[in-house]
Amino acid sequence: MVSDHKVRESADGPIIKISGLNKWFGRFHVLRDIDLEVAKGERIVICGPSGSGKSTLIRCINRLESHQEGRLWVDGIELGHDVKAIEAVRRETGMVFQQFNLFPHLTILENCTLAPIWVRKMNRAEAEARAMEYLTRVRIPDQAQKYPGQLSGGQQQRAAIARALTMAPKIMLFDEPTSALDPEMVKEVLDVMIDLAGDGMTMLVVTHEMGFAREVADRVVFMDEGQIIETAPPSEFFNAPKHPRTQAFLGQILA
Amino acid sequence: MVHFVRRQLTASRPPPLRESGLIGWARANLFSDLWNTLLTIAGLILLALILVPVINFTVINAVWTGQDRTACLAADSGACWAFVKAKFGQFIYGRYPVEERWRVDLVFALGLLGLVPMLVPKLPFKKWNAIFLLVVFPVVAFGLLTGRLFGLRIVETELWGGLLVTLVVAVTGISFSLPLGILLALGRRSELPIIKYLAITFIEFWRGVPLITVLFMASVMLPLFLPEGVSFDKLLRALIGVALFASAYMAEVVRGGLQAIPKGQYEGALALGLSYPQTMALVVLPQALTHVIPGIVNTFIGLFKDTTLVLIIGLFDLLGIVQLGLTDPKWSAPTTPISGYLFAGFVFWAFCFAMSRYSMFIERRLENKRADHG
Ligand SMILES: Nc1ncnc2c1ncn2[C@@H]1O[C@H](COP(=O)(O)OP(=O)(O)O)[C@@H](O)[C@H]1O
Ligand SMILES: [Mg+2]
Repeated sequence: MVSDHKVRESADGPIIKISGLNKWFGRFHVLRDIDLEVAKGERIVICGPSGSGKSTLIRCINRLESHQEGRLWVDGIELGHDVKAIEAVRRETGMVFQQFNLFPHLTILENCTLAPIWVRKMNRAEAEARAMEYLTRVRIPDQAQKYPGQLSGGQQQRAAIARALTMAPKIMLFDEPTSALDPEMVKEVLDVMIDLAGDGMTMLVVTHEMGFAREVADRVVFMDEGQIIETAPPSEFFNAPKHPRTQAFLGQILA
Repeated sequence: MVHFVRRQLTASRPPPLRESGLIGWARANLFSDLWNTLLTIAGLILLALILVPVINFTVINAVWTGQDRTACLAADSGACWAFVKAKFGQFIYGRYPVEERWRVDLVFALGLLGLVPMLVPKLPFKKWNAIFLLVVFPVVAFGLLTGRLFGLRIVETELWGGLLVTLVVAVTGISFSLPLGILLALGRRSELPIIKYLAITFIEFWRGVPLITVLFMASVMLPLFLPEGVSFDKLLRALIGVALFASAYMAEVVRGGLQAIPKGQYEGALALGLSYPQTMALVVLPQALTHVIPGIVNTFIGLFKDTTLVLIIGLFDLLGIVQLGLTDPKWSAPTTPISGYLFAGFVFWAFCFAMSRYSMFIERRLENKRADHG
């Protein structure tokens, strides 16, 4: 798997390139000297203690947060203050949130056609056909006409994944997609994500689901105090972590 | 029982029937115990004490026909509806020339024709309906009422009055205050300091001044600042004053709704690549506005009743024209004033009550549709 991903990297160059990234919230130094390159089709799992800056990092990638120092490219576009560049990056980047963030005033189908119609300028019939395709893929085609408030948490999160996919993004960002779910619904969402990984989608996933990391990740990134402490393929990461903080963290969550 | 194992699973069955029917309802709510029964009886007595004289006055002893005051002079006579009947044309049209009143009727009819299908959610063609109501209707109404289009005889706004003026002021106020209020509310939350402070200044200015002062300044002071010979239609001044005044209140209502929208909704929309205006128009505002329907309608109702203040600048709205009618010696009788005010009060109440009921209907419909926030 490791050598496999090296081949891809050399063939295409990184789809995400982050170099020397620093960010502060007021006086609080939340991201410190982040360097990370993600190859096309690579699957990265980001883990670390709560408050270590994982969400902030992936939110920088679609500019829901702005950085103060360093540079960041997504699909060849540098992120800065240029609104057009930001919108271009967001079109190619899907995001799935812990709290789903579905639009409660729209049906599931309308949630999934909103961006294709208004951003991609697709006609309604085509957008609906595509949305149904993705809703079928996440196994909730029968919920299309319902409103988000009428669905279970697991169904809502799968709808949110479908909504992101209808934009045919090149990159998918997941911020703890299963943390707000009841335990029996975690698997249905992870299954959808595993399925997506099988398609070669570039994925950055913040999660504490270590089973998912082992099965799907090409690389695991461990963060603490706003820094990347250790990066390794899952086999090495779980079996032979090098940094004492990684060892301590794994000791806690795998205990 | 430390260890329990269920032997038979219970099948699902429908819920028990509630005590139903009028008698069942009355027993449960009005006569459930001694105290409740006493309260109910006391309430009924009070109601009778009020209703009997009111009905006597307004219906049973009321005078329905007559040519002048003599009809309403009898000692025990009730409301003088004959007066209202005789003045009805004035109450509706003011001094609008009698032979041109069909234009007002046509405008009322077109307004209803556009409004009613818009308000019934089930009916189709909402887009065309809205275009008719927001673009075609205002132009046609302006043309018909003033006579400045279609080659009609020109009727100066001085001659307009009664319900016509009330409705013109209220409808213009309502249709401008909502969009203006939304823009002001968005401006007040803007990250650009200039826009933000302009919006705040505007809102706080209009909220700080009584409408009566606004109208007074518009009629007395504005002409002082305008160059000699430039005059500004009185009705137009009132329209602008009322619309700006109401939009400041509307802005605060809408801002309340915007504050209730979680950050995740903006992020969800932006992350999909929607622009800021699209995010506001498609995701944030539809939710924010439905949260504050009661507040919006409340502002509409306040505005509707505030139209009576245009009397201060010499415009005769419904209430003004009723009061004017009361000074007619031909109809001077002890019961005419109260009859006139009852009529005016009833018309205002009917419009405001209709708005209130409609907003409740829409709220309930939205709630049922979404079974929200599960
Ligand atoms: N908008 C914000 N303003 C101020 N502090 C924030 C903001 N968002 C996050 N933080 C702080 O930044 C730190 C990192 O947050 P976050 O990236 O959400 O961590 P993680 O996702 O790893 O739990 C936390 O201490 C959090 O309190
Ligand atoms: Mg987080």
